[in-house]
Amino acid sequence: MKPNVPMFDVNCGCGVWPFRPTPPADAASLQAMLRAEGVTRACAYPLEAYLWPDPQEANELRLPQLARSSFFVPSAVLNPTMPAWSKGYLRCREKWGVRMVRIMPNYHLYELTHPGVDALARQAAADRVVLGVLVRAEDKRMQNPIAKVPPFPIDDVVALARRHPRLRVVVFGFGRLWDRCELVPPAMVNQLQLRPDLEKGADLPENMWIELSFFEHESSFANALKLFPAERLLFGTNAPLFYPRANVLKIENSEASKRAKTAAFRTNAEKLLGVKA
Amino acid sequence: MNAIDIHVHHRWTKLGERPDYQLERTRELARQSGVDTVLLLTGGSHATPEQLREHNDCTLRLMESDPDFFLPAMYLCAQHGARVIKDEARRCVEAGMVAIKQSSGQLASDANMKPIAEAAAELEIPILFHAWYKTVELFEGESNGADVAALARRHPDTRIIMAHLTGVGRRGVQDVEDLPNVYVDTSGGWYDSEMVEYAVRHMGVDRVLYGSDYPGRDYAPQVGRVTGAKLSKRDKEKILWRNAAALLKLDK
Repeated sequence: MKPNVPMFDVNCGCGVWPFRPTPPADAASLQAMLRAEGVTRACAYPLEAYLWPDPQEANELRLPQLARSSFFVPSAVLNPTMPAWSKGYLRCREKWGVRMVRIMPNYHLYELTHPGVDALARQAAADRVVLGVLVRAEDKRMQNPIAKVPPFPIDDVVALARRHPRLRVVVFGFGRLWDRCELVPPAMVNQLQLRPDLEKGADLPENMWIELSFFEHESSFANALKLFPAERLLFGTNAPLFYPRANVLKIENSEASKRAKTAAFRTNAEKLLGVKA
Repeated sequence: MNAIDIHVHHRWTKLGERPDYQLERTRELARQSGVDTVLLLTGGSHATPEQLREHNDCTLRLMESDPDFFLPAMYLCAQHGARVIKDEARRCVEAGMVAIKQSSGQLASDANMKPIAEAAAELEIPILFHAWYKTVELFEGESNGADVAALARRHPDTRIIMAHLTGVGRRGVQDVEDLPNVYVDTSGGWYDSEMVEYAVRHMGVDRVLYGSDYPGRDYAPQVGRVTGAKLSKRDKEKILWRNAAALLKLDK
């Protein structure tokens, strides 16, 4: 059953995933797949950007297709350790109106303390561009053995957000709560199923949002609400790598309030990206 | 929807310490996602015979509290020897248990599985076996698809549910696709697209069963990976409940 509300998917990829079949690969088919699940708008990025040496080439390939449809809010992927990252940034802003830039530090092999990351963060904050930081794209246990990419530490993303309080940061791929982190310490994880009264247990920076496609812990959305403010949670499908319906139902079937569901499905993303679902 | 979830854990192992809140959530959350029956699994790889009996008794108490919702599966420990295994298996089946669970501490291909496999065949109940192909974080003694296949070949009259479709992946499916006594459940990590369709293409829809791995996982998205797959309504019904009802001989 589809939720009877507009849904803004902030996390879908357009293109070819190198490790297994994940149709569809083109923007029109991706749009059709998401619409069939009730998604009304989607912020999409080029899947080829994970492994291509210059992700700007992936932006050049996919963003024109995405920008042609009002269904999509195109999102660029940059590697801010590349010498010419800022040219790509400007081109994506001017040519395709990009409102969110994503970085993939675990796939592009750098730390968030790299000077290029701070330079991108300053530029994005000045332009009111959202910075997405991907901490996980796959289950590390089943990755191709020639391409093992461990999850990126969320605490490093928290530190980046605190260094740049005017920057708005979205974490993509935050998932298993037993991955050790200061943001959600193990003692708090153990309380989730025992304490219905727990509220906003994690000390999330005010300029940080959590995308939920990988967040799974018993009653996932309700438990996310025990850790984080409702206005900081974002619906994402991680399509086409995941079945999009899984993440629709994660929110729709939860015991959370309708208000919290609407915020995650739609209004939080609308406010963050400045476009309607 | 009336789904049967073939892979749900509970953590009640001491009769005097019943975690009521967690158990109630097991039921409430399932029903919110259209699951109205669950196969309830316990552990016990390193338990003594007495401890294991208590684990199984906890599961039986849950069945008695709501027999329409909780289907109980026993745990048996291969190290306990044939006599203890067969006595406990018979006791549990006579009390109403419908399956056997084997977890990551027991290698499916080990010869010590013989009495458990024989008990399952004699009592006409399936074994749900933990399995995974991992590139990192492999547990000691953890079975993969080839281990499950080896057990299934040695015991063709024993029905085995290989757990974690996404965990065993395409290699695991191919390990068992020609073994009609092996089923697979749809659990195992996140909801990788195309995996359910792959299992159906290779094994046939009648040997694929919905499972969530709750509470480590969440019923809702795990149901979504089946209902969101590119399959016919009839095939989804088979995966969600018809196949499990037939395997467990339920009147549903």
